[in-house]
Amino acid sequence: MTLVQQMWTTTPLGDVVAPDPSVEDDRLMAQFCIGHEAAFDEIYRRHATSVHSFLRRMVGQPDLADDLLQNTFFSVVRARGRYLPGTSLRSWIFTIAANTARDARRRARVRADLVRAHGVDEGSVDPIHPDPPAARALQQALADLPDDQREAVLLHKMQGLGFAEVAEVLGISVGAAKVRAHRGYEKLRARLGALEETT
Amino acid sequence: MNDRHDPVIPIPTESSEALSQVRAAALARFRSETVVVSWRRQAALLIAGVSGVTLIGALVVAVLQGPAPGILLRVPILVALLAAQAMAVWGFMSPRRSLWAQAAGGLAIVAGVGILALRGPGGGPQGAMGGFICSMSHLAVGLVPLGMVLGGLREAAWSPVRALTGGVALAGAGLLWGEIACDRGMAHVITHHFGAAVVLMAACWVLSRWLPVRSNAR
Repeated sequence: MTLVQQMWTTTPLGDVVAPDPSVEDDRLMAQFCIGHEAAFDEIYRRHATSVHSFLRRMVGQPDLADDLLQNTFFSVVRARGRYLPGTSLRSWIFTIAANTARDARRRARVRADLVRAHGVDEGSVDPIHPDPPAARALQQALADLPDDQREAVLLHKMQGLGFAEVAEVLGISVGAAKVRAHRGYEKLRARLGALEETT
Repeated sequence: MNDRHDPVIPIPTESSEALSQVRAAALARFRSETVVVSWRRQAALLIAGVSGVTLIGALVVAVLQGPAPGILLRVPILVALLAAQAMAVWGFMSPRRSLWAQAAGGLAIVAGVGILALRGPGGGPQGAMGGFICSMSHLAVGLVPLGMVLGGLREAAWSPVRALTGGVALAGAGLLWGEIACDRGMAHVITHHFGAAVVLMAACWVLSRWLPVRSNAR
């Protein structure tokens, strides 16, 4: 029986019941902490793609997003003793990813001259995968949002996190998460509306 | 996985090769870092280290120089400073947004008010050199705890609250030594003890912001 199969429970009548996500997370993390590679693989399989997608949209550069994904999972490995049982593993990993992206952007700003000298345009659209014009405009509008609003919009709209989870990831209240996302949406709407009028 | 996407924005084409490489690198890291230390254990060790250094130093000062007059009156303040230090360490090591950090800050303020109240208004600095020596001693005794606190702060993502709480833990060490070794008045304490504590807190903030963290977990 695999680790994942063990997490599903069976009622006395034989019905298979999906596990409580937090119990499932706790079991996975407990196995991860005692060195089970299968648990690490399962965590990676479940979260790497969505975290990677979030990071690419946060920083706009595929190569940098790959590095940040690696740093995120290095942090997951290093800080597994800081995971609190009973909390959402997805929120915990997204918190690490958001902190990693924030830290990278801050350090990039500090090294702005060096970065410019190497011709890297922070927040640029992925040049390898040219997008349709509307998507490109939206991606640029997202890149122009302040970091805190972009995080809230991406986590809520793109990654499908509820506002409670967004709040947990960003370390703010649910109300503040809603306000940040709302302000972000308003700016996106205004920016894209202005673009539509000019075209 | 509850991962929904806006149809307007294309999902970036995920590079399976990049994901595989990251997985391999993270797995290699996982295999090399087999020991998991819980944050509680790390916090307890750090409290023991910071408090231990502070107490050993205080004992050395008391033995070499002799305790300041009226030291017994200051025992509650010394206890409050040690408690604030321990609570601050626990507060910045905890992954929760705990009340420990706020409680440590509150207790440190109460201890500061107590220090000023016991010193009284008189007995200002006895010459510039006397005050300077106090400031320098204050900064010097904070150096070892500063290294320890920075090590603890690097275990998780930087935040202003964590950096400030780390500074409170540092300030506690110098203030405690100052209470044992010095009996000058309020003006001297504000300038040379509290001033040095603020410098240590600022150093903690700047260095912790500058040093790379070991993990970006909360």
